[in-house]
Amino acid sequence: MRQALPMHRSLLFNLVAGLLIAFPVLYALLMSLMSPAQMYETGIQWIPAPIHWANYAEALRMVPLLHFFANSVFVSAAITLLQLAIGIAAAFAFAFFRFRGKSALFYLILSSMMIPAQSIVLANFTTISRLDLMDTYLALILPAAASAFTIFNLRQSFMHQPAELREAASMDGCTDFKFMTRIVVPVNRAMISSCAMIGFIFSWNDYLWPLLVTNDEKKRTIQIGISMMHDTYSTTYGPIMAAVTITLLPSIVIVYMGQKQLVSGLAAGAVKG
Amino acid sequence: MRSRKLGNSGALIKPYVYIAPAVLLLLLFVYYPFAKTMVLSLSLTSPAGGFVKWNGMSNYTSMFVSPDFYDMLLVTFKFSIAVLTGSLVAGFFMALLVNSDRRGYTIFKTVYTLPMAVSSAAIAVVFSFVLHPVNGLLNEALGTDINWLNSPKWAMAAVIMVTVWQNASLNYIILLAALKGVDRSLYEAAEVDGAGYWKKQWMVSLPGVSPTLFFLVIVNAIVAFQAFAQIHVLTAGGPYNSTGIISYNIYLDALRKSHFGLAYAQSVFLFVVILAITRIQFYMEKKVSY
Repeated sequence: MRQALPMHRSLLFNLVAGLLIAFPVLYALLMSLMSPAQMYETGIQWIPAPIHWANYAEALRMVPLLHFFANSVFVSAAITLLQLAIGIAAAFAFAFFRFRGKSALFYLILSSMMIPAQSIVLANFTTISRLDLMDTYLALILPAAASAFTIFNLRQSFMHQPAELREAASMDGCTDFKFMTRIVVPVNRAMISSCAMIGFIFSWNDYLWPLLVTNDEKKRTIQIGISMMHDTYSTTYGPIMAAVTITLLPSIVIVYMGQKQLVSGLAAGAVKG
Repeated sequence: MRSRKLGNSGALIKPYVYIAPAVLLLLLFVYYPFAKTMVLSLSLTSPAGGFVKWNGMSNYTSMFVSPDFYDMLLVTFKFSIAVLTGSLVAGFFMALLVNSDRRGYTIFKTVYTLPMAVSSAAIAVVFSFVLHPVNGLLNEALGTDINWLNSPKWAMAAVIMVTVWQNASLNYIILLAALKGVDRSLYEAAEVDGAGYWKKQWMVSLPGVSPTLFFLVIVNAIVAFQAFAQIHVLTAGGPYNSTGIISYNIYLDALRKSHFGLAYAQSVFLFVVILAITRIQFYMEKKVSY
């Protein structure tokens, strides 16, 4: 603790930085609860008085917000589950099996991270539209279903398994598949949940891909829904802020509940030296 | 004996069964579009982005002779430099602030982690209200009358600000982890030499995290090149293309102007730039021993 700032100064800096960082989120929340009348009063209005819940009802009436929300939940959950299932299987093979072409295949998976998403997004879009998959959940989910990041992190984590564990399991007549699902998965649940959170957050917030492959309002995700709502009803602050708050909610919950796993997953492999 | 044999031939293909879904999906949605982008960048394309006929280097020549391309590169460069500097400085500062592990600081840690997890589009919507020329908070607070998002100078600053706000968070997470790894005794040694708090951060913390910092410069540049949602929501690349960085320009050329060939050429260009940056990083990491 000897390297610390004096308490009051440290607290002051943190309060200032914390308020700056939290500002857009807090502002959205406060405005979402403010009546239009109060919003247009002179001077800057901060605290909603009285609390005006009607903005939320209004937001739901203006656009099918719950439908967008459900679409996003479905798409992000499907992507997350597929990334885990596909990633666990692949990472398991790379960590425990010996086979021809193993390092070449692992390199192939790793190298895919070198190709920036923005440089292949158009080609994927034309493929999807040629295959007549526009406005389908398949188009939203499938391209993100395998994550090289997840495979890499899981493999690193699986490699820490002591070899004896596998020997003991196979002596007990445990098949590889059972060894994976009954032992490796539970033992590595910390890294698996990190990957799940990161996968969910990134697919929840994804913007460009759903913008390209959805035209139909029925398939629109909440990110596209919110920006279209903003384009159409740009003057109705309260309801739009209510929609923003609803959009931000899952991320806030994940950060609040799973901060430790999230942070360890993101920092894994990034700290050098 | 028989079952053993069966087991062996099964064991031979088993690993491939486990990795097949991952490999197939990455081939289909990363490598195939990558090859397709290369091919189409050398082709005349239909308004829907399909192949019409070979066109040699003509997409590239029209890209490289266009003055707009260089304007766009300059915009991308300014944006990326500002975003990476801003978000590294802010991220490092936030990491220092909570590095002391005082009780009750969890709330600050949560707040600093939040931006990386929230949607750029939704946050951009919030900022568009804050920056609104007539009843936006910023004009009201400053007593000014600036049309932030419609002035080339301020629009860029606004988009940079939103992106810094968001990207600083990931830097914070990784730099905090790196700070935990700095040798404690170095701080004590600096203290013996009479160094105060800020001097210790300058002389011990900063060199201690510099390998990570270097890695983050590369990551931040790559992330900055690919900013999209906040630009789409706040400025749509305008006014007068002043905020149209390369990733946004690819989108505009292809989907708004139906110049797919040009957009594919820019996609390849983006890939080459990012590859070059990553190569530099590998090279430097090998060369410099920390």
